[in-house]
Amino acid sequence: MNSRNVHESFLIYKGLKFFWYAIALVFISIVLYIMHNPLVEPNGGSWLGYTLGVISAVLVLWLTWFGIRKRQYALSATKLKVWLSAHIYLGLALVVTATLHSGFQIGWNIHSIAYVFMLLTVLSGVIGVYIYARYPKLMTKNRAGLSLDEMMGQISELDQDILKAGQQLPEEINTALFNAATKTSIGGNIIEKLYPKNINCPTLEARNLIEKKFADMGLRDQNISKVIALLAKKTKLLRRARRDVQIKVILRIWLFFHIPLAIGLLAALFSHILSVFFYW
Amino acid sequence: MKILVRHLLKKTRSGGYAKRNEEIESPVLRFGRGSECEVHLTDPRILLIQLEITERSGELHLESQGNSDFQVNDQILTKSTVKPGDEICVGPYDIKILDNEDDYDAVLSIEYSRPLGDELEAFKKRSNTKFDSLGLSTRGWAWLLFVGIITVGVLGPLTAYTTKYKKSETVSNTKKNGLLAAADKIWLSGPHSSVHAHFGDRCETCHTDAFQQVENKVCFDCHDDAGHHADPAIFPSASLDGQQCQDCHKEHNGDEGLLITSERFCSNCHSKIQNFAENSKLKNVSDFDEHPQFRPTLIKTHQPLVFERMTIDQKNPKPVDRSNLKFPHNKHLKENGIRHPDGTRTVIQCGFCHEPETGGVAMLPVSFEKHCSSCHDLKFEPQAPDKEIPHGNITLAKEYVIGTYAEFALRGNFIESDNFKNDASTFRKLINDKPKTKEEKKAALEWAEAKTKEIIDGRYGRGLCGECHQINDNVKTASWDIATVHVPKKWLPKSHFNHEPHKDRECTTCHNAKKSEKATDILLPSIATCQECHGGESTTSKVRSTCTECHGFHRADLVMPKEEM
Repeated sequence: MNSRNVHESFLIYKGLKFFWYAIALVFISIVLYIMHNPLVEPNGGSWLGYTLGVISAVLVLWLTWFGIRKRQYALSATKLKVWLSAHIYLGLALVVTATLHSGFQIGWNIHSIAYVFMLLTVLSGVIGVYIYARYPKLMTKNRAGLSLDEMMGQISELDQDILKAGQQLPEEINTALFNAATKTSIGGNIIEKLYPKNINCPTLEARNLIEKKFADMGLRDQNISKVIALLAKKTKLLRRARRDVQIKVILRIWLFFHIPLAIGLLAALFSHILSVFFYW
Repeated sequence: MKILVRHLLKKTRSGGYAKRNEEIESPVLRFGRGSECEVHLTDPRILLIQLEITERSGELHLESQGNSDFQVNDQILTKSTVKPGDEICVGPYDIKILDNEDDYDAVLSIEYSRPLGDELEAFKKRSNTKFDSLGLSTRGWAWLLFVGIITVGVLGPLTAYTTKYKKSETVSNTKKNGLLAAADKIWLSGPHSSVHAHFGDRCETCHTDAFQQVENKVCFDCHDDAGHHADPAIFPSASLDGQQCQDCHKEHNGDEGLLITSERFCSNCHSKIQNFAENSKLKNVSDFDEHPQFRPTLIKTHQPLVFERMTIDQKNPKPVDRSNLKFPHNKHLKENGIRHPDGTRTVIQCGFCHEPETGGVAMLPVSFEKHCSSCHDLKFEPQAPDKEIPHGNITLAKEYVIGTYAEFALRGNFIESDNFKNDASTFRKLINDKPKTKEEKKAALEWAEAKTKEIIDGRYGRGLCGECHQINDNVKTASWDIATVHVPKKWLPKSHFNHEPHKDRECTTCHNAKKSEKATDILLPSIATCQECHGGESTTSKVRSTCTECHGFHRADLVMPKEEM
């Protein structure tokens, strides 16, 4: 039981406590919106419009505060989980309160810019939730107890073995093996990190070359069969190392959208509120 | 060929080398990765056989194998002869030809000068596994967006606001309107109503001061006739004192928000008006489907002029139109036409008399000269066939008649009929000669006056006027007068009606004129007639007509004192 508590996901924290809070907020907002029925078409300037606007603005500020709260390492980790759970569900509820606040009036103006930034921030957050629900498990599974450093160490050792085994082999193989040992890399630019399958990998090229051109030699030459086996081992390790890098990037890349969008939202929200009362 | 190969191994602390000597006897000295080579070089960059050294007439001859090459004293070559002291570079190996020793044909040293190095370090160096930027760091992107949005959303509009000409300043049309004049357009929360769209980006027209709600006086600059809804002295609950125009008139919601057309806005009070205004004589109404019967404002008495509102379908007493006119609509609208004095028949339509005013909202007043006189002439004397009594003023009419006969009396040429009762001997003369003496002239005038009285009180005077007009007798002066005509401009003054959109219907669809025998008939349609086509706000089968379709909110006769606003 104890171990289950440790792994209790941020999504189902305390029996979905904040999920129900968010549902309540959404429900009340929708009911009020339907009942409100103002004399002119619904807009942010009616009493309900202002109410939903204040709620949404407070939510935005509180949600953004999470960025500061999560850096306060001194406070206990459990509490951070509470915050995260609330951050997610109330963040989703914000979409409803802010949409109702707008009265579905969208235009080319600072008010709609704030709205769109809110939507994009929440969307990136939803993607983040999905990523955090899915990828840490995959990462653990992929690593199978090895760190990236250890994988790279093993790859490097394999390279020595491969070169040694390949010493007496024909030039074409040797060149390929040499390239495989000296030019193979993990990661690269952002595209290569995210799509490692697209990398031109010298190790894979060497393996393909040998398997295609020299496979039958392997039956006679012990060195070739050894090289083939070692290369297979290396490719497997490379795949795992690259997958590890890929997952690490995936786990971070949504934040490159979520955080700047949230800050953009703060700026747009400030402009929105200022403009409303400046030209009251 | 006997050769001593010195493998220079690790450098020692003193700077020298640990060495391993190898004695090789072979006709050819091959350098390479292959095991068949006399000198075995393990580096993977070296070919299986990279270099061959042979001895030819005492000289060492070098020849590279495969596609490789080598350097002798920094010169890139594929074949060369070397002597002691030369330095040869083969891949990562440095070979030096040393002076001959003992009985060796050659002595050389080999150093693995450029090994592959730490492969793991190199591997890590090649690999980029860190991820902390996407062109910019998250913080960088955040700042970029923050500054960008604040610039567009705050700084731009503020610049526009501060550099625009204020309302008090005169701006000529040709003058440019400040820096970034349109930058505050991004603050627009929605489209202008079309009636205010001409203000364009001149936000300051209404938003005179920052952080201050638009004040009523700004609205009154143009809309100075916006009055109270009801007299606040009698109906304080309907007073607009202390209200802001924008409480109801929401700008920046397109045309939808500016005017409230919702039925609820009115029916909130008017469905039970006595709850809000005890003294109100208005009937309750909540929807056009339940609209009370029309109660036109009618003249009750002419002197003094008193009006009353009566329901048009009231039976006893029936509402009557006291216009002081006599007019049978039914006779004029006969389907086979009416007889013209020239003997022909003419079919006339409503539009013959009732012409719409420009825009078609209401009808122009009916005019005797334009609409009646082609049939109804006001000729009074057969011997003066071109003379007609002028219409419109009875005093002028009487003067016109007396003038006509006085002219006859003075000029003569009037043939008197036999039954004229005046002094025959006097005027017999007149018909032949012009009056010359004073007495004759006096007699002539007396005749004219008598003749006038005969006409005015007779068939062509009182008789003719009385055909259409109410005649009032004045006992004191023993004369008569035409009762003042009073055709109401608006039968239902608290509403507005536009004939134009209804022009495709026959007039008689709503106005039952063909059966009206008297001018006292009220020819307004019943509310039921309107309700045949028009329904309330929630109608699904009729023309949706809310209160504002016919009724205004602000009464122009109850203008609000502007200084209080």
